[in-house]
Amino acid sequence: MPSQPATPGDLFVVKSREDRYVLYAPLRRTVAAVNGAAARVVSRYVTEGPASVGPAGAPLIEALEAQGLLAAQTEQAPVFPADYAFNPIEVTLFPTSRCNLRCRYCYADAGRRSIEMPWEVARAAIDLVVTNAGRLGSRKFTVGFHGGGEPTMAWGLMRQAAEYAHQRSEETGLDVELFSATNGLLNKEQREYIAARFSSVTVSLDGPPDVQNFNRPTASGAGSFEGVRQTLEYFNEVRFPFWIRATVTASTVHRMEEAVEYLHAQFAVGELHMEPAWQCGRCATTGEEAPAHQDFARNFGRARAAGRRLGVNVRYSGSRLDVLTSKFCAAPGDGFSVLPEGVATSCFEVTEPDDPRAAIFHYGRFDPQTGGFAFDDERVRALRGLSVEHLPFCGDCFCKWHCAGDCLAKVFGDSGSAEHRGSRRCELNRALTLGAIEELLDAAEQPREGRN
Amino acid sequence: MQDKPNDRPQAQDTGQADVDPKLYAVVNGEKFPRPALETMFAEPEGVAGCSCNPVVYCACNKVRTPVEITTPTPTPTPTAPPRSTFSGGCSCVGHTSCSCEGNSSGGVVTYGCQCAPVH
Repeated sequence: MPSQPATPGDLFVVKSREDRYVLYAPLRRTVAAVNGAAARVVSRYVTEGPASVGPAGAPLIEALEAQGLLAAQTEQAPVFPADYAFNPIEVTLFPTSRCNLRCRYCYADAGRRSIEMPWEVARAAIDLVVTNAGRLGSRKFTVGFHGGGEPTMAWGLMRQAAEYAHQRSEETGLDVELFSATNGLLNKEQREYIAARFSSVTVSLDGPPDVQNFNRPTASGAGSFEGVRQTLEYFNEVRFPFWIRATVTASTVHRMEEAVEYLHAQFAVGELHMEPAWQCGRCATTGEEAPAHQDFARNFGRARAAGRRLGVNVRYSGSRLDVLTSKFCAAPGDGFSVLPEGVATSCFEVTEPDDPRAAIFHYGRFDPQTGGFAFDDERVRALRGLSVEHLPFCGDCFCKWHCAGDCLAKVFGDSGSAEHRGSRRCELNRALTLGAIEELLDAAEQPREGRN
Repeated sequence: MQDKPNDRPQAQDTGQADVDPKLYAVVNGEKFPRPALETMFAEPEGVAGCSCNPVVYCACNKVRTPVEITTPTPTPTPTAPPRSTFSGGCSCVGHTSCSCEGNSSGGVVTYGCQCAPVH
């Protein structure tokens, strides 16, 4: 009988299937499958102490201690140090709000406005991350491009910024990483330049031609698939690394597995991010709907299985067992993105100054007088307080170190404040994460079953 | 509004018997997917996902906590830290960007892995 009480730390008990429970210690990277009686023994042991465990439960406790699930040991949470200072060495520029597509679910409703980033803003942002990289002793700095709009629509600025980043790299001896998100509708010059000067790109492509052309039409209403196809075929031809992001709606959710197979066959994609559409932005006018959680979960499972079969890494941001983090993305504190107006934001999805969430995520702006950025230190501190260890809602959830509170822009869009009252995707994230854990356990059990 | 999840072990009804507790399977250690982000907060030795030789620290998400273990060298210029002589051996699970890093602190050069964050 164990004499010392365990240090439970982050130990969770989750019902899996009929009379089957998962005991999960994420920070110990340890998980066990047990029956209901064993789950009760462990719960009693943790809540009431070793004396509560009878002779029938003692061997179980000893086994779980031996496996590290209950052993008293220090857990190291992946949280930022208290003295962490805001010195970004990566910037994401949003060169324009213009877009040549009118995607039916666009969160930014891109193309509605026409704002271009002045060159001085882009230059100052790059200079800042170069300076920080040198100060911190980093070997590299990173410059990315994203939207809002389609970044390549501001091609002159994008190319000028990329060249400037390379120039600063040569001047300082620091390496530079250039990445971009794009809708893939690029002309020949753009394809060739990006393949030659960038490190990688993310291309938005929702699947086979009919899906892509319906979801992501051009501004004139034409299909976009053919243009994207030409871009990806060129990237493959010159072996330029890209990965694909596909948005899934209620009307395309049943085609997720097909999308994996198609994109693998057509473009040999190695990594595919499949994300459910979010009811916002242009959805209000197109009537496009997010898929039901159960539908997405079921079809994501099939898509991931197809991916395993074909060698495609199929991912969804809310379920990532291979990630331990206190932040869903860089929004809580260290993200440095610059909007066309020169506003610094930590969130990719809050792109409008009149968005109520701007008061949370917008924390600075370019100052034409100084030629640099001025940051609101109070907001930066407040953002850091949004990492998962500070979110009471998530404190007792077994997913907390994986989804880390999910996308805060979505969460705060729902709550209408900076209070985290859960995400609409909690149910989905929990189901998919538990499913991934069960897959691990099932695989571990198979040899044993084979011997029986 | 969602219900707040609570997966912590709960106090048990003493009336329930704990007859025949069964442990079906355990997965831990190397069989578990390795963490990809912010692993620099782990111990320097055996940092998950990084294997520069010598491994001294893993800096992810742009924060670095170097551990000084290598021999002193001349202090480099602030904007040009020494290039690592270890060009391989790093891998960030779930992300494409990982490289062996050289860093300087007080005239001491250290090496480790840097994994870029996922957005």
